[in-house]
Order: sequence, then C-alpha cells, then structure tokens
Amino acid sequence: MIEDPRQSLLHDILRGRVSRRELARRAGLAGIGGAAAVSHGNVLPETVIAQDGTPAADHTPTGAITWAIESDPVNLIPYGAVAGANMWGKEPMYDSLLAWDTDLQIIPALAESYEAAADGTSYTFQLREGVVFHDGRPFTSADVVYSLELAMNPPAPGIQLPWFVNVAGVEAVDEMTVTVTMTQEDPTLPGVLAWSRYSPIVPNGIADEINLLSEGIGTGPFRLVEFVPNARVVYTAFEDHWNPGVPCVQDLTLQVLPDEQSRVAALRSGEIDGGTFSPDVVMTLENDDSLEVLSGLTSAPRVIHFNTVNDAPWRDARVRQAINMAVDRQEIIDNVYGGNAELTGPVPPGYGDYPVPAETLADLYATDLEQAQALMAEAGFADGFEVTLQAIAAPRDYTQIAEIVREQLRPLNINVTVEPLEIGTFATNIGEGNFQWASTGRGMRGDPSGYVVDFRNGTALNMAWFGDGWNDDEINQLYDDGLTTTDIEERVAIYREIQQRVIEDAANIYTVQPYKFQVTGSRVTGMYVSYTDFLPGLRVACVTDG
Amino acid sequence: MALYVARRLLMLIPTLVGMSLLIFLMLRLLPGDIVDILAGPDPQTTSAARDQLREAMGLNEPLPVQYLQWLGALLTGDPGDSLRSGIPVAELLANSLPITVQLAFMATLIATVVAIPLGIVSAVRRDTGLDFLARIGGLIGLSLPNFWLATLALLVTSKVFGWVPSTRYISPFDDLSGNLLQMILPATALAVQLMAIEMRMTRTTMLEVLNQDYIRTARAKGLRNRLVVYRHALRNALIPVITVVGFQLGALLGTSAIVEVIFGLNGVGNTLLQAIFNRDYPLVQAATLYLATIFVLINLAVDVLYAYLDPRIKQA
Repeated sequence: MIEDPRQSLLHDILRGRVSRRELARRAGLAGIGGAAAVSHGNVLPETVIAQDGTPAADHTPTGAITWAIESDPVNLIPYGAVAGANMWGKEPMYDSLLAWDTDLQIIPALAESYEAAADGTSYTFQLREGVVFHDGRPFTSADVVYSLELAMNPPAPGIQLPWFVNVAGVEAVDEMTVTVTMTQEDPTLPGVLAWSRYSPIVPNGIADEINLLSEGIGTGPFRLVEFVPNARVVYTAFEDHWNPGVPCVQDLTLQVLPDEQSRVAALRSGEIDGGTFSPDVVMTLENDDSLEVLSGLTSAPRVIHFNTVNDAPWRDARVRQAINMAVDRQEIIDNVYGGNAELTGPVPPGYGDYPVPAETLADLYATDLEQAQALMAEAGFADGFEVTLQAIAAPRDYTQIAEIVREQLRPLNINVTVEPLEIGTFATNIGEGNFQWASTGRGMRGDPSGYVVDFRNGTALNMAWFGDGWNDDEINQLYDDGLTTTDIEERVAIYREIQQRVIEDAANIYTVQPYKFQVTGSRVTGMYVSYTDFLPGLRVACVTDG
Repeated sequence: MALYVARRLLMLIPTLVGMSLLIFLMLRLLPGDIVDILAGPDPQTTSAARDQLREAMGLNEPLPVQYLQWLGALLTGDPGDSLRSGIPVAELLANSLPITVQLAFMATLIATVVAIPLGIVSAVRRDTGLDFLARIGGLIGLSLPNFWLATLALLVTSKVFGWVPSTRYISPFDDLSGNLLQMILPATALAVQLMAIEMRMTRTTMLEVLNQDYIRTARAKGLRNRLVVYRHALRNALIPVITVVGFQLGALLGTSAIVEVIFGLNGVGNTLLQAIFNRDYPLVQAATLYLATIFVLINLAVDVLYAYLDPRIKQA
C-alpha cells in the first residue's frame, strides 16, 4: 500500500514527534492546506473522474460497509437542511450538477461542462447524456429546473438559505442544456453547486409523488433501501450510476451511534467498519493493527465573536487588539486538541488559496502581554471589565477554548464568565445577536465570500452582531468587489486582504481549526476524510474481503 | 375491587390533561425553538427566512391555540407527525416502544430474581459472612452508574470476545435467542442498581417483620422456620418492595435512555432524548404522554397488587 503522507504525519503528530514548523511543511506536502485553486468559469474536460482512487470502470460492486454516524440525520430532505447529519444521511443517493475533488477543484458531475457568460450574469450547463434516476427515469433539463427551484424555496422543514439569492431564473434551453440567469454578476454559483449540500438533483415533480423527508430518488451511486430515524439509513448500490465503477461496495449502512465508546467497541468487534473519533480516542486505537487511522482538515474554524451592537469596552479596536495579543492559540492547540489543530483566520486552512498563509497568521497572532496591557491602558481599561462568554456546551471543545481564553485574559484584568449553553439556546442567541462574546465554530461554505459575509455592513448577521459598533468601509468595498470579479487570482487577493483587515482589527478572535479523525477497519480501503465534513469517500471506498 | 380500579382509571383523565399541559408548556419554555435548531449554531439564514419557516410549521399561532389544536387531534387518536422527519409520531413510537418496554421488564425481572432471595437470606442469616457479602455487593451495585457499567460491558465484550450486541433491534418474535443475546447486556446494566435497591429493601423490611410480635407468636406455637419466613414474614415484608419495584419499572421506561444510547438501541428513551434536542414538539409531547400513561398504569397495577397482598387495603 502506498503510504499516505497524511497518515504518516498523523502518526508522528500523535507520538509528539513533529514540531510546528515541520508540521506546516509536511501538511503542505500532504495537501492539507495546500495550494488548490478552485477552477472557475472554465469548460471542464470530460475525462475528469470523481475522486482519487476511484475504482476501475468495470468494477462490480461487492461487499458491505457499515459506517457509524454520531448524530441522527432526522430526515433526508434534499433542500434547506443545515445539519451535517442530514447530509451524511442523504448524500449517497444524490448528485449535484458539479462536484469537488479532494482538493476542492470543481469537477463535472451531472453537468458535463458549464460556461459563464462574458458579463458573468448567466451560466449555461451542458448536461450529461444517458444518466438515469434510481426509478429508471431519464435525467433531463426539466429535472434541473425543478430541482433548483426547490433549492431556492425549500418546503418546510427546509429553511431558505442565502446561496441562491442572485438567481433570477432557471431555464431549460433544450433537453440537455440549462441556463441559470443571475440578477447580477455572481461568481459564487459553481462553488455552491459543487458543494452539493443544497443542490441535489431530483426527478421533476418528485415532491408530489413521495415523501422527501423519509424517501428519496436521485441519480447518486446508492439507492435508498430503508431509513429508520435515530437508528440507520440503509443503501444498496445503484447499478446504472453514470460514473462507471462507482460505488465500490454493494451495501452501505449508516448506523447512528452517538456514544463514542460504543463506536470504539463496535469498531473493535467488527459491528461497524468505521466512524469519526476524537484525538484522545484515536491515540488508544492507533496501536491496533486491525484498524486504520485517517485524518484531515475539515472546514470548521473556531472563533470567538464579539457583539458590538451595544456600548461595550470591546467597541474600541485597541481593546480587541489587546485581547488578540493576549490569546495564545498554541496553548489551545496543545491543550484542547492535543496538538491536532492549525491556526485559522476567517477562511480556514485547506480552502484552496484563499486562507491567509500559516506564516502570516503566526505573525498576526504573536502574543505580547506587555503591549496588550499598554493598549488596554491607552483605551482607558487598565482595570479591565466583566464579560460573559457564551459557549456551545457539547462538543466540549468550544467551552474548553473559552476557559483557556478566560485564563489568558486575566493579566488584562478582564474577568470572563464562561457560560456553557445547550445547542438550542446557543443557536437562538447567536442568531439573534443575544450575547456579549460567543465561542463557536463556523462550517463549510461553497464560496470564500461565505466566510466573510458577516463583516459586510448591512448583511443580516452583521446587523445582529456588530450593529453600528463596528464597520470597515474598506472591507465593504472589497467584499462587493469580490462578488463582481471572476478572476481567481484577483479574488484570492481580495479575500486575503479582507481577512488581514479583520484579523488586524480583531473584529472577531479566530483561533484554530482542528483535524478530524476517522478510523476504519483494515478491510476498508479508499476512504478519506473529506474537507467538506461530508462522507463522499463512501462512494469510492472498497472492502478487501468483499 | 372493580369499583376501586374504575375510580383510579377515571382519575387518569385529569392526570393526563394536567400532564399534557405541563409538557406542552415546558417544551415551549425551553430557549430555542425547532427553527433555531434547524438554522444551527453557525447561522447562515436571515431572520425573515426563519420566521417564514415558523409560519409554515404553524408555530406562529398563539400558544393556547397550538395547545388546543394538539389536544383536539390527540383526542381523535392522532398525535400528529414529527416536525422534522414527517413520519407519524404513532409510527415512531410503535417502533421504539417495544425495545424500551422489553428492556425495562427484562431488567426488572433480572433484578428481582436475584435480589429478593438474596435479601431474604441476608435477613434470615443476619450478620453472617453471607449477609456481609450481600450488603457489600448491594452497596457497590448502588454506587455504580448504569452508563458506566454499560460502557464497560461493551468495551470488555468487544475486547475479550470480539463481539458486541447488534445495534439493529431483533424482534423476539423473529428470533428469540438473537433477541435475548442482544438485550441481555443492556438489561443487566440497567438491572444492577435496581437489584441493589431491591435487595437492601427486602433485607430491611424482612428484618423489621421478623421482629414483630406475630412472628414471635408463630414461632412460639412451634411452626417450622421455613413456614414462618415464607408464609408469615415474606408476604408482609414484600409490600414496600413491590412499591419500589413498580416505581422503578415505571422510571426505567424513561431512564433507560442513556443505556439505549450507549447500545445504539432506538428505544423510546433514546427517541425522546433526540426529539428534545431537536425540539420536535409533536414527538416529545406524544412520547412523554405515553410514558406518563404507562407510569400511571403501572402504579395502578401496584396498588391493585397491594390490595391482594394486604386485605386491609381492599376493605378500606
């Protein structure tokens, strides 16, 4: 077996053999946080196949994989579901027009190619011929029109998301061609479609035929056999999938197992073939020869939000900058994640070329207590202040980060009260801006603009979080420019500039992005940790004794 | 007797109406509604989009209207559909209730079969080595949290036998031995604490009864020890034990949740727990109401059993 640089890196990390510098170097080699420009506006070559290690085209699906998921998908609605577990549950049966490869390069899926109009206000997709849905219906442009319209206005319990706001209309030009017109120039659409989370393609009129909450028909590599909420989702290979050789296994079961120790026991006994585990547990599993440890970054930057809507000391940039200087992120990396995390800005490492490079982050995040104290004094807060820092209670790392920050801010006389909150309460508070400081994490986005939209004055959450207490006209301009530019290099420069400004002004305190660990039985090959936090690897994963 | 049972059954109605109101209100008092949960802690939606979804789900109606709508539907036998999965609540409960009921009854059976004889022996042979061992065992059993036992049991069997109970529920009607094999570990994990409680309870009440005058009389008239213990003492000693068993059986229907989660069993406790996290109102309301009804009925059964064991209650 070819040694995966990510895995050997993980082994060394776990044994404490890697310095930070070495980590950054080798992470680059392993493609973690490595350079990967998202291709855009191009006509894509037909020959590109989905993922690394795709099974041979003449492969017949054999064997079975049972994969443990740590939360219940609850439903399988194709549109408007934010929860990650929903995506895990439905992903095997759906395809989007486009997809991402493991380096977040846009590759064709149900669209063989696409072209952006010269003025950037429309996209034309050439659909793949000969694709059929699970029930045998042929795939045509009418299905795309129907699906994208559902995606823009998802029926309950789907919630409307802002990713399609600039779409003016979807039109079938002919049987195999679809044009999406935009109200303005918008470079984000291909990324959103490749993300695939909110844009699965379903047969025309399907919502009137079946219950999309618990059933589903798509073009994906697996057909849904059974969905039992809070228990499992069972799939079987779809023989007529358009991508020959995908999937590799005949049967796929996603088993809901929320308790980590139960996942350990089930994995050891072969009841499941793999699942996600915390770094602590991975250390106990890595010596087991019958198991394989996989690791990778997923888009999950941890951040402490400031609320500047009401009058508060942290409306003063000097106070925020002092806090930024007092927070030692390396301590968070070491103590909360056992070394298995990277520094992050608004766009997390691994998201193509868009993140601020690691060395620059290290400089921006250099700790300097003396200077921090001086800044506090200058701002008139030498005696500090009291503040409540809300944190998501489970998973516990958000609260652990909050607690470390509380200790690190003591020298500035800032008296932080950490308030761990159940997810429902936290979600309400963060949505409504009902907090002083909040320790949370952000998820995946289809386009880099999604990571910085909250710093654009006037957007929904910007009003709830910053109000008139924080505004940067330069960022507003840059943000707008980013959305009217299709040139990749220009966009990279714009988003790096926005992030640099956000970090220098300490509008929020971005901290770290942890690695995600998945462990499989050794009979499983080809699985990988996806940056999207979804499970696309299950499409190409095989079993040796199948 | 029939009148007594009928009166008790009638009392169920106000109890359940009160419960339904309490459950309904408590859920609504929780900060964060289902739409906030759907939007998630990494918000990407506008508050207009969230309000639109609230309206689509009928959550913008005033609370009294929502309550009466729910109660009305419930009275026609329709507890509604899950707000998140769209599956009828009745179907979700029908899938999960058998698992929990079996777990609770198996745990109670295991606990009782071991605890009552042990408690009797412990009382009769008071201050012997056996009594001492039983009391220590009881104390240990009482101190062990069931989630810890459950996790330990799983890790040990997976390490030693390379086996864990299937997470897919096997119906006893399809495969009885498979079902028992699957349920024995979780049921035992649930049983240990109950076992300890029952053992100590049996021992204490047994000791108390054995010191009563009528026992002395029985002995004085020359009855054999066996007869004294089992016919005269045990019957009276069991009354408080049965209360505890009944109460615990009802409680197990709700508290088995954590063991269900650990063993990956889709029981009603586990379902309810997830539904609370998801703020899936119809599901939580129906599930808690079902559990409350069963709890009340079990208590009723215990009271009837009382009357059987203690004729004085029947006459009262």
